[in-house]
Amino acid sequence: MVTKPEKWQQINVVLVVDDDDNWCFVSKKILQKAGVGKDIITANNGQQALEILQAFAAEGKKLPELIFLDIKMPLMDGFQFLEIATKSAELDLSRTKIFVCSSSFLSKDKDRAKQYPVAGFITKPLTLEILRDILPSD
Amino acid sequence: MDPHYSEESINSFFINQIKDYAIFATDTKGIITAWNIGAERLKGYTEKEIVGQFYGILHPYEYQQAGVPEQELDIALEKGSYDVEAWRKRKDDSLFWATVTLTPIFSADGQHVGYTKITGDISKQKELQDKLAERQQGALEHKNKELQKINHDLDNFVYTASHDLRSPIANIEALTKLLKEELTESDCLSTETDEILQRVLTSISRFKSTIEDLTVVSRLQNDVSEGLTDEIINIKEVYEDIIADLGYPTELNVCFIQTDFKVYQLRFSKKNLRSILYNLISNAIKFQSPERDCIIKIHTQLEEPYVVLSVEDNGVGIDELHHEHLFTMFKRFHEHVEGTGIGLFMVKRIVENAGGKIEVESKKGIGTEFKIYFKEDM
Repeated sequence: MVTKPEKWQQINVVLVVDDDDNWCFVSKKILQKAGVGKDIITANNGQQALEILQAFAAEGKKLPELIFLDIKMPLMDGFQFLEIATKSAELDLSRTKIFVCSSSFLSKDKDRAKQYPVAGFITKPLTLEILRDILPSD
Repeated sequence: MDPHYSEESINSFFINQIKDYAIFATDTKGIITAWNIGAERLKGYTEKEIVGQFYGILHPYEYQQAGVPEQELDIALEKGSYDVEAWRKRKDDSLFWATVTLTPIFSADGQHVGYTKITGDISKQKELQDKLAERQQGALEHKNKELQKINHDLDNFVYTASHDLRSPIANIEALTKLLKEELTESDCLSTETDEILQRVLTSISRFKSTIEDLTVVSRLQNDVSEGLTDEIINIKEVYEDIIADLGYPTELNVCFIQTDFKVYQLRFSKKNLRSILYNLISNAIKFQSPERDCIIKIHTQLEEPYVVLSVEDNGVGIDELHHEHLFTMFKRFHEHVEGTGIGLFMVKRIVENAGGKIEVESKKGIGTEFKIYFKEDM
């Protein structure tokens, strides 16, 4: 079964943030198969993700249109990342959709994430069906 | 004077010299007629002071007011003797813990002539007993605390395990699916490798449903510690909701369900009541007998201090051997019926956490009745 790349609204860069390399790999594969994003970047924690975004901003590049963000990560977790990134003056996230990902959501985690401008919640693993649900196609 | 009743007979050479026990005699009304040295030592009254007084003076005031001295005389006469361990009062109003024997005395011709009473001071013994009881109580409390802690740790463990296991198994599932896709696309999937992959995927999905059950259990525990809100629920509404969910009547038209909600309201968590009723009804449907029409009777009634919810079926029944393991986690008794063995464990847990209880009555080949007792505190 060959999945035909679907026509998504123009998405250039996708950032996957997860401390588990296997998750990054799976997400990247699924995004590639679905044809979402010309460039798929991965980061292993909030700190790395923040540095990537800051480097983009410093070079004047457009920030990723999509971010898949895990919650539980070492060094800087998903919440800390949201706190800093969404309140930073130098990062313009107005055209970035952030999806919070977890293999199981606790209601208190969801409530906490809802305090930030997030686009939604995804229960892992990421699938083509989920992508169809969350991304507007042409 | 009757020799049995004479002062001399009790104040004999022997009795008078007993110093550790108070021994005295009364007439039929309880008026003291004789008093030994032991009595003087124990109670503080001299023979001169006490003879002629009602023996009730030796009881604490509370006993006197309650009419205990008179009752003791009556019981002794009726039963032939009266033994008790209780408080007694000294002349100076101080109390001591006493062992008492009250015996009615009869004359040679069988006439009731009075009583003798023997009193011992066992305060020291009582003190030791109390100390021992206190120590046992302390040990028990300690053990209780320890068990509570172990239970809490276990709940935490289930919670953590179920959450931490989800991520890798979901990962394995996604990777296996990707692998299958890649192999298909590159034409490398043979009938043999496809079967192996299919079996891996089946195992993964079983693994996932077990984890799902564990998550349900741990969530249940969390609900308890976070105090799931109770509300007044209409039991019939919950029932109708479940039946709609189960696909009645199209899929279940083989079952006749009779309901009688004598108690129609309950203060409980709606989500939990639904869980309980859903589990019991779906079990009754699942385990129906192939030999007869399935009839399920559901009723509620008041049995102070409980509201009882009963779900009774005429299904295959449960072997007596299995009754004690019925509510154990992951126990299943029927190979041919789908299930993970978590339902009844959860029902019991919910009910007991809320201060109620669950009972089962079942005969193999006849049917099963589950009774849930909800503590009624409305």
